[in-house]
Amino acid sequence: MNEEKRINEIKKEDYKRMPLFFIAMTVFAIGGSFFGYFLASKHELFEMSVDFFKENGKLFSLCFAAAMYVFGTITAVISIVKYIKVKKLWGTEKEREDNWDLIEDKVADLFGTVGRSIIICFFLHGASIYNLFPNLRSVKTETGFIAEIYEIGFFLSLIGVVIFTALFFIIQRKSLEMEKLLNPEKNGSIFDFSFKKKWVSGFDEAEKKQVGIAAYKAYNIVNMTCTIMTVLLIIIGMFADITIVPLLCVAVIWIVQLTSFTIACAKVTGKFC
Amino acid sequence: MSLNNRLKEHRARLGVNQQELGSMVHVSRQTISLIERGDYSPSVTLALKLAGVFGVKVEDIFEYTDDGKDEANE
Repeated sequence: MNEEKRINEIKKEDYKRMPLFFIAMTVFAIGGSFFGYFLASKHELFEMSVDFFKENGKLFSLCFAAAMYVFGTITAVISIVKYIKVKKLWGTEKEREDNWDLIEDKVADLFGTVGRSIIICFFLHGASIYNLFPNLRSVKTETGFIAEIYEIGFFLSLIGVVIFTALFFIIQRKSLEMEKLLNPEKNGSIFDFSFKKKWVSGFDEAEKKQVGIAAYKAYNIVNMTCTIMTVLLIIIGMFADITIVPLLCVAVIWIVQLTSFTIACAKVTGKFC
Repeated sequence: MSLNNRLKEHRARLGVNQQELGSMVHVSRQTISLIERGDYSPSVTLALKLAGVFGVKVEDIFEYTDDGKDEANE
């Protein structure tokens, strides 16, 4: 009897929300159709963009390598300035108590800046050596000079990614040092392969709750991003030759995220332990 | 729900900073700060540990008032 009552309650709640849900879905479907139609009407522009990128791969390669140097230098300087400011705030023992929360926020911000910079540098490096060998072959038949510049671009990009990765790694290590000063109960060396495990073991109840809420929010945002990216790539793929690789990448990220989240939840509840 | 607390007062009475109090009850300084600001409701274990450190009852530090809000949605 109780179960029947509960089922009725669930149905009632569903029926209450159902009309708004279907209205929203219809609006999204109509909006999506118009957006798809709009993109399709501009298919020539997309095809031109893709072709332009392919034909001028050599030029883009050098541009991306240069962009990595500019971006890497700017973000490295910003990160170093942020670190110096944090060190200054840490200052004397007397000032620490008042500034502690602010310092924690600034160190977290620094970690975010460095993490994002590493990802963007990797992307720019990847973009600069994209289609490298076919491009080099096509260049060599034309003129040796351009091929040489292109090879220089490739090596510059390679050297750049090594330099900036090392630089950001050092900033990250310094930030971690600061984090450990702020939280003496935290353990683990950045050079240790089991660092993340050791770091998490130092979490107390409030930190575990914070991480749980943050992880769930990040999970939802990534799900939403993957949905949007999949729809966009399906539409673009209809009239521009972008291959199925981008769609496959999004699908892999989506599946890995869903699976790892489910497994992690099961582990927390002790089902897999 | 609302959990008011007098943790800061008791900490001042004991003459310790957030970091030192955190070490005494094996939590981070940030957790002490969150509790003091009313942004985190501690577990029963932590509340009892804090009461033990100050030598008072849990009710002397924490005061619960039902304001009709659900903590999970806060």
